[in-house]
Amino acid sequence: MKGQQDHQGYVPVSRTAAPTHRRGVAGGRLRRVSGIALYTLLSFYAFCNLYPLFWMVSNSFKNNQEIFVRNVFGLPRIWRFENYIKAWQSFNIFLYFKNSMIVATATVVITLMLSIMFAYATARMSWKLSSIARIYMSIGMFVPVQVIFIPLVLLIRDFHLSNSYLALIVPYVAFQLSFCSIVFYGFFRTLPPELEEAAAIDGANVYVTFYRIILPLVKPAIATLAIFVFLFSWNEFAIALIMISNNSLKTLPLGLLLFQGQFATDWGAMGASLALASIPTIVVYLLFGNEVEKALTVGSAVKG
Amino acid sequence: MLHNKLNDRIAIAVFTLPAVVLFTTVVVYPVLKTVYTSLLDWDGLSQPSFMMFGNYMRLFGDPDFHLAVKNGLIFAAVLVIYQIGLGSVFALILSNRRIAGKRFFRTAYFVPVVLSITVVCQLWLSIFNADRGLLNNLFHALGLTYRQSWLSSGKTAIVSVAFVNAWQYLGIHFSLIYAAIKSIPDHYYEAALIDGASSFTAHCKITIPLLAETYRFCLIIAITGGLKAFENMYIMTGGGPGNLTYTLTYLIYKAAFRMNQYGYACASASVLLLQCLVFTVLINRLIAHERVTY
Amino acid sequence: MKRGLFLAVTVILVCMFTTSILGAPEPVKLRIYTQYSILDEKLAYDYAAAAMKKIMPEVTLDLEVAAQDDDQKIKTYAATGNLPDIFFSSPGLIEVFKKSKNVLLLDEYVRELKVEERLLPSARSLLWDEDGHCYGVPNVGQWAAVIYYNKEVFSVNNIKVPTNYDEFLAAVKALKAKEIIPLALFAKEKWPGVQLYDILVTRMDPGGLKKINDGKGSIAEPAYRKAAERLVELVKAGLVSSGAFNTNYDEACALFIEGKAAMLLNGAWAMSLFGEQMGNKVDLLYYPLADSANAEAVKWNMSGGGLNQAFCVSPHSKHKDVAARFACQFALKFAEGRVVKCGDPNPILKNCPPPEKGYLPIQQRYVNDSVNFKTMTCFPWGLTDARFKTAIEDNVQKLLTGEYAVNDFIKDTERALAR
Repeated sequence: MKGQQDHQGYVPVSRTAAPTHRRGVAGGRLRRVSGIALYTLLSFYAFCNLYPLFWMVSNSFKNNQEIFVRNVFGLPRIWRFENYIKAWQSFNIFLYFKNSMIVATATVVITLMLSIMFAYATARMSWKLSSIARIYMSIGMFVPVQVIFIPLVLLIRDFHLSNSYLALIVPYVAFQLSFCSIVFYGFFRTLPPELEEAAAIDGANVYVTFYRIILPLVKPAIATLAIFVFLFSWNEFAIALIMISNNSLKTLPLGLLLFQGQFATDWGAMGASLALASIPTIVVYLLFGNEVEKALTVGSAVKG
Repeated sequence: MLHNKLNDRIAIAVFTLPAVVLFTTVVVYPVLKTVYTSLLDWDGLSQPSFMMFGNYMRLFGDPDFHLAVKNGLIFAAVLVIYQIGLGSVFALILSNRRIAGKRFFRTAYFVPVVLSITVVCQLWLSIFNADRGLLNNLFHALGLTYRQSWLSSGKTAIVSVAFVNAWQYLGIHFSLIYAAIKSIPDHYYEAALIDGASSFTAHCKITIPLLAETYRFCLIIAITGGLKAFENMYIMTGGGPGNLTYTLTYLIYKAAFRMNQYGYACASASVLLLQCLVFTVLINRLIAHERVTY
Repeated sequence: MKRGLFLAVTVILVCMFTTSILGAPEPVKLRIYTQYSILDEKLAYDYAAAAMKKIMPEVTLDLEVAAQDDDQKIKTYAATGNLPDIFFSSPGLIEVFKKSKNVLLLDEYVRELKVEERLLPSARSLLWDEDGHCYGVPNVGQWAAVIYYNKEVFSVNNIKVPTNYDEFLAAVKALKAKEIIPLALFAKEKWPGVQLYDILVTRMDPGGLKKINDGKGSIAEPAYRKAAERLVELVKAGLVSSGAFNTNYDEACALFIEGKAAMLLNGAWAMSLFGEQMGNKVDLLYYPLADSANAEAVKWNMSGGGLNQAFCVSPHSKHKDVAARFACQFALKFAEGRVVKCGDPNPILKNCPPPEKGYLPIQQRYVNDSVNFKTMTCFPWGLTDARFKTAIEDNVQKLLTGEYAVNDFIKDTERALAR
């Protein structure tokens, strides 16, 4: 309440713990106690969420015995850098990175473009079939990919896309359209209808309105979904396994197969490769996450 | 007027057709083929023969199917409760301006989403491990005799697996709800707070109703995600022990690739599709449809 | 002068042309889909590829590394008409591909190349399918399933190494009391549990589960019931840890190597791993799970064996003949590579060169023992009836939880087969 004037607001909690006009000194103490409890809770959960990162990196320096029996949760006692050397040698990491990057970037751009347009039409234009179209589009959310492998491979072959990046990009985009359209729809529905009316009075046509007025307002959603779609295509395995047979087109998750034999798996080297493969996802998250934050502050300022 | 309507139609076509055409060819067409295949007696490779509803009759009599449906529903329930419940709590707390270190918490809560599912599942396998796992050791250290074989007992297995998925992807729901809260203009609560409402009541009365649209898609995502869950089982339990952690997707996988009963797999897939569709329509009906704007 | 040059050029050209037709065959590129992930797989593959370079130099290989994916990929390849020229295959896959005409009949190539004559008599049956035809040449020997045990764990804890079922049960209880996992079982995979059950069955009926698979027996027969009852009894005594269903291969091996588990069930192929890591501490147990009265009599009725893996050829290959001849010989060279490079103690070839590094003591022991083997069953991936295989895999895993009645086990398995 005290922070009201401070619109950019990260006010440290100590300053705002001052008593308000309604609550007395006792209330302040209570708040301080509950504040500590709150921070403990938040920090504990944050720790649980950050731990896998630590675990992944420390596993990447261990061998199978340490990973499974001797030292499951702690720091490695012997740092086995050879895991990284193995990962580097048996794993054409640049190629896999390049392929994953191309596929993921293309998927993000195309998916966002198509779904944002679709969601705009269903959320903000009135036409008879709009709600049916929306539910139709959500079917993609619940198709288990395993059953459509065969028709999908045939389709890709008949369109002569086999053994090209498009063999992955096209299905990825199609499958992510559902999720993105649903989320964008939700965001569009919360914008006031007067936006378009005002634009129409100014003489702007629907495309200009969409581009100039609506798009900037859903930037947080765009940035958020960019992260999700990127993560999906970066980590996707099932479709990639079936679609790609050409070694030069393989993405990172396929590369990891190189550590899994018929019986045994080299978990240390795989951990090293996984750790390396996670770097771009974290970078992308931090980058776009920052955009989300900025966009959110601007967005609420416009509307507030 | 007429001209305007035509313009609108063209605009609608321009906006929707690219997505609809792509989606129809790549997703819906194979799905229709799947539904058709569910009427065949087919191993996926040899000459198929038509058998009408034979696969469905068998499916409804299959105890694995009943268990799979039940597990799918439990899985979905765990996701809804954990991800939407806890996601909302964290989003509400962190949307409060007075909280310091928001940026850190928000980033931390999203980290598991960024990681590969293999890493997360392997970690939880170690934590759940009945003999050397962190969880049982924790109970032991606290002097409790509550040791469990989390992933192998009929009572806890599916919930434990679902929990791992819920935990990993909490960040998605958290960030969607958080973004929605942040786009509610501040003067809404300020008015309420000035009226003397506690922030808890302010949230219950103002924020949450305004999030109806967000909750609609979060629910759809969580429920359909739960019903078609596969990878967690694949990595952690292999559907086992026995059939204890089968879900419909797992049944599909088993029928198609382990038993070479492609038609049967497609029948379970069709049931799964129908189930998800029913839930989506229900959610759309149940959550108020009037437009919420600020 | 000019004329001479012209003549010389013509002669050279004609010579080149004829040699290219008659002598050196046209270069062929073959797609091959097989495992190439861990060291043993790579060593054998590279050995075979190098040897084939000399035998069929015109062939170059385009390798695609196979995934551990329950044959999803290869089946999708077949369904979409995109099979690689050569692919590795197990009996279950051959069975499906046979029906759908996705695997080339190799009979005439095998005869032409005298493959059978090059195999040891014990391995010849692997070449021929039940229907009398050859669909793939085995690329690795017949392994038995064995129980590895840590001698030190037994001696330190003063526990008698069992020789029959009663002693085995007593040992399980004693180990459990000392908080040692009696048997490390990687039951996250379905097959080790089935193998354990098969071992128990073969103490009473040498046909094992393969007998049911081949339609020559029923799960309701007393041997199968008794074996299931014993499995439950052992589980209740604490044979496997309750985390076994989430234990993977590497974790089980790690537990055993570290001495946290006293025994481990695995195929004989894991011998080099344990021999290298544990030296003299590790030894083999041939199934001390029979009644004391007939323990000696059934000792060499082995569980395991059968065709593990073969190289098959696509009937749709553009270079069918080349691919078939190549695959047959490549398989034999691969099997040779498994012996020479990886020290496999069970060659299928006559006149096979010895392992480069010699045998480890444990491998030598297996070599000596293997002449005694009387009967073999097969590993679960050798079960060709997919319905039976899936049912037995799931149901045995349930038995291992100890919460599943033997009667239900029999009933459920029977029902799955009736469909």
